[in-house]
Amino acid sequence: MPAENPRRIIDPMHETTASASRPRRHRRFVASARTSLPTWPDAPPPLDEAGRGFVLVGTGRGAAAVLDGWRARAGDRPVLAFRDENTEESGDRAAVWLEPALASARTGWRLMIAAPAADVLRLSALARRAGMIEAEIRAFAVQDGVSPLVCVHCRTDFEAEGEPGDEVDCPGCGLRLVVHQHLSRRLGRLAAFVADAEGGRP
Amino acid sequence: MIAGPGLPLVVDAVLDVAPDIRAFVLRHPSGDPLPSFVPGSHLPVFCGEGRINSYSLTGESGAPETYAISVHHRRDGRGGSTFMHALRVGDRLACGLPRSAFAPVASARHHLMIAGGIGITPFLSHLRAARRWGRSASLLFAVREGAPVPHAAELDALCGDLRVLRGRAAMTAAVEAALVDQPLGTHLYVCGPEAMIDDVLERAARAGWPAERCHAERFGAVLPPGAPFEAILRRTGRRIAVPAEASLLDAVEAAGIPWPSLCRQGVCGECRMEGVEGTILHRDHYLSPAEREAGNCLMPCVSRGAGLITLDL
Ligand code: FES
Repeated sequence: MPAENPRRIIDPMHETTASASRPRRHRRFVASARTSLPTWPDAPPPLDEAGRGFVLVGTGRGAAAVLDGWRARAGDRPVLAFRDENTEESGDRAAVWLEPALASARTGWRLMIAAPAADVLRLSALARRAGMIEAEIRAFAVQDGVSPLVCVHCRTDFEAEGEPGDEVDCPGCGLRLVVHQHLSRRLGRLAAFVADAEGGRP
Repeated sequence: MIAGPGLPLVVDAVLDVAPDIRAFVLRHPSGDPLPSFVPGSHLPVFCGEGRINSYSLTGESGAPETYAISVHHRRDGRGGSTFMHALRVGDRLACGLPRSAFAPVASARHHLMIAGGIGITPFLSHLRAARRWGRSASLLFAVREGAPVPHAAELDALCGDLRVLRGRAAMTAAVEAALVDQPLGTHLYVCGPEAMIDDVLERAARAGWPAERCHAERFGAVLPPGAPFEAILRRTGRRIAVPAEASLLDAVEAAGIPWPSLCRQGVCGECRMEGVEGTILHRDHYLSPAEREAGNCLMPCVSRGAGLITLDL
């Protein structure tokens, strides 16, 4: 485990601690001045040893091993854990599980998330709404590839193989779309725009 | 003296709230309303002979007609509280504008307040604001065995979740229990004797509370003398010596350079000095950890240098 602090998930609305290190994802995409995607740690951050208790959430491929590592480090401190690796709705199920878990967690606890990027954002947004601050949340984005998307033209929600900068077809309106770096925090989905929106064609 | 716009006030009422604790109601000589303040703010008061003490404002914070402060008479103090306790209705007082250094965090889900003795004073305005805005708050208040509870009736009316604790053991047990059973999003506020503040903050850190959630209001304890050092004034090339028992601020003033100050206890922020070079020994309660780390500003009323430092003077 690296000894230094892992990069934290940064709330894009209060982005004051821009990380100097290069983001691992969406290299092929020209970064806009402000994107709503945080930078991710390259390896799972260690369990936050300062915590008195832990809420652990894992969704997506590879989350189980990360969760096991954290749980082992928690020792005899209280842990509430959820994991669901395989189902389509694991993000939804995690969100439903998380709310009562946060209500029973106490100040002094930490939330640790290992999940696909969109789940991380959605779940950490839930935690912030429950009163947690950045110092209490650590997350690791697992499983690159499939992203939850929303077509900004026809509003269809869909999952597709693709990361920001990639092109995908919208199953709703059939347009060729570019996955954008903008994450709808309300929907927990990446926005996808028509591929040549900047070329002037409707 | 008082920097910035001063505020002349008149003593409107004097009231004993507990043995040795006297409350003063102050108003503007012309009867004008007074400036609003952030809950938890303190009022700098000129207490004669160059002393300026800061007292927490205990009354309503929004467009108040009067300010209220409570003063604990410390017979072993620097004389400020003796001066205050001699005040009578109609006496005039020179004050500064209220200063905020202990504000409630508006986004907190719950406010856990811990007070010891006269450290209750900033919480009176916190509790009034909590009540006004429907914020959830609880208060643990340590009061000496056998001593009456200062502001008891007001506290009862303002706080539905108030516990008065007698003696150190009872307080420690209550603090320990509270720190492990607060809802997520709670902020902790502590005010009282220095040792109590340190103890509570240490227990909070051990219970996993991030520093961002912990807020302390220190009255400023008497600091031990430091090692002597020297300061070079960059603009004039002058060199001044700071002996062990004097502060850097004392030495700068003794060299004939006027410099703003209020509390002279490293609490208020008034004396902040920028553009400092050299090794700084920070001893204030004002600068943030990041500002300390930057290593180019200090509070000369309490903080010192090691060996030789350079000032932008
Ligand atoms: S005079 Fe108040 S911090 Fe120095």
